[in-house]
Amino acid sequence: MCPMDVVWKAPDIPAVEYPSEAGAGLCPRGSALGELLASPYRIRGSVDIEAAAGRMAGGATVLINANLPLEEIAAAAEIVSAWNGVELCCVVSPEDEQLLLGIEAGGAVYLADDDLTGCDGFVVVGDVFAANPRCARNVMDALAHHRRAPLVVIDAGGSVTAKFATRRIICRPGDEADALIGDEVASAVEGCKRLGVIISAEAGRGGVWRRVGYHAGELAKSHGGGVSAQTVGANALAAVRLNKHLGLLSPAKALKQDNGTLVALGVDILGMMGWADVDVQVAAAALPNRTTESAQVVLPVALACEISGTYLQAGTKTVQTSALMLPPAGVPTVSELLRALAQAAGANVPPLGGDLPTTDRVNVPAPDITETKVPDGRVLIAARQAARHGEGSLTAYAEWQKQSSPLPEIRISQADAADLGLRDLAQIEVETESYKTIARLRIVKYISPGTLAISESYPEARRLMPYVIDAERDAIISNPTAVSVRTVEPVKAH
Amino acid sequence: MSEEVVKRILLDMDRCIECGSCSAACYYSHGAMPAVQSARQGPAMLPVICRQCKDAPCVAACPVEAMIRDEAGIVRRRLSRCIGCGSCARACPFGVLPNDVTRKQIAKCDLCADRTASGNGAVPRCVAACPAGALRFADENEVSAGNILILGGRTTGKDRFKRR
Ligand code: SF4
Ligand code: SF4
Repeated sequence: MCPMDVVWKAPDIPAVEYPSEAGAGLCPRGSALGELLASPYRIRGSVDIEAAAGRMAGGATVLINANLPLEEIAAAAEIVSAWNGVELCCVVSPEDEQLLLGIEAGGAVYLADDDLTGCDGFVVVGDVFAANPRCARNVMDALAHHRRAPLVVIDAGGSVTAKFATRRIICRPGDEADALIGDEVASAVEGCKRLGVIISAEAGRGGVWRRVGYHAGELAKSHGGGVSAQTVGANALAAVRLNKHLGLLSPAKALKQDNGTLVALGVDILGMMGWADVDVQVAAAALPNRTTESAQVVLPVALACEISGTYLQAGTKTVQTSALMLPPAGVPTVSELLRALAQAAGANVPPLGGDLPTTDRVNVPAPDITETKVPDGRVLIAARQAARHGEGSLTAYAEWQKQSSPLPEIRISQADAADLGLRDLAQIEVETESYKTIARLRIVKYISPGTLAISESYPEARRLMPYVIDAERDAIISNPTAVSVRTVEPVKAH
Repeated sequence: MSEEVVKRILLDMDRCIECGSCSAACYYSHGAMPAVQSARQGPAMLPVICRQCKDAPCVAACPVEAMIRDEAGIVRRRLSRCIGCGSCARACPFGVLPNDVTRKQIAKCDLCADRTASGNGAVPRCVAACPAGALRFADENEVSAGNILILGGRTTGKDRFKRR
């Protein structure tokens, strides 16, 4: 977990400090948290429980976030089980959900970041160094120790990680699973006795991630190693397992079914999915986001770093975290909010049990082969960015992030840029069938012509390629999207 | 007064993953005036960090003695004196001082002297924040022991052509 410290610059002004002895860094997202803890945009004020509970009277689906500790998820599940007509889903990023289900099916060992240091070779899918900058140190330390260790990077998005590869497989979006089981990877890792397969599951690759997770497990097992999934939510694996063990709704079912009111507690579901026309009646958040902007009732809620609890790391290991600081006065946690809503609705909520639910591996079948539909012409996919996080609802409020990357970055190949007459770092209008926005162009070497990759942590970028629900496969999918780009001149100040 | 600092911040270009953590750490700990900024270097966006020159052109260029070498040898900017004229930025041969003068003053690396002055193994915040281990706070002995290559005052990785 993040080695972050909070210090008090003044009685009301928290700031992050960077412990010299941590030795494992603090990425820009962690750095921003210190600022967000005292953000002037923080949602506070009265908690209008009656109004929110009133909207849930005819039944509701409650969405919570996979960044919460196990105790909070378990408490939410217990409360909802005593509340008729209300169902719960712990929302995991759709790609992470599919990836983790694939790894679970493959039966592979999970590797924690520290375990990577002991590996003698790596196969990487996606931009893992941007997804989790801290895993870079473990990979580099391992490579420094085993000078001939391979670092094979399979990537469609022009990633930073690809620059470090000893062998690069620059694929088209959706071809990652085939690349993983291909001869090129097999020959590159021949002789590895402890192979680390590290994956960052990114949007715009269709339904490929379940297969990637499964085959990653097979590959790692055949070389005495394991798999490391660099997920967006810190408790994504626990959420995937608890959704199954506790009989909670899968994200696809939760968002597909018509079970009365949709309630999003601490999850910016509209920002995450790139949707504009879904009716979320009640939303709780620490800072305003796309979901609170459109909700009828907005409630305050604590940030994950304001709650202590347990996180599931690497399959079986758990780690305890303590709260960086307490939530502001009167701001409830998700479980406190849910309990108050249930009581206001007349549910008879028993006192919560103290035991944590099981987070054992779940039994899921091997995935089917799914073809990713890639439209003709240039296509847009998503890319991770080290400076920003997830759907961007928190980092959008951080000053350094706003200054250093005010616009999403869109990566393009040298060939495409030359063909379109586009300059590096130009301001670009990006248009798909569903949306149009402005981005900053980056010409990169390791991306195939015809593919453009845009930073995912901007709600505008996500609206360019909104997710679709695949009810048959119980999955939420984002496909590569046909895209056009053109230069726009910034408005000059006079 | 020391002639030059004993320890400098070194960037290992073979390890930098262009994450910007160093710049964010500097921003959040130096009143939103980050002295560590990323700049395009070939196909990469790498941090540019003050080299704490022995004969610092920025000190010589400053017309109001805001840029000085202090007792510990650190080239630093005295906030109360800086008039934001930008002479130091133009004089710096490595372009590490930002040309856009934030709040009419130049942002300047002081090696986080508030915490490194005491020794005790403390390192500047950018070094502590670097997740990839690309930044080091090292003296000359560590440089030679670590076989680190320093080219024309620039610190580089062991093999600057290996990756990019
Ligand atoms: S700012 Fe430039 S000229 Fe001044 S000490 Fe640093 S590197 Fe040298
Ligand atoms: S924190 Fe380290 S890896 Fe990240 S940009 Fe700075 S030097 Fe490079």
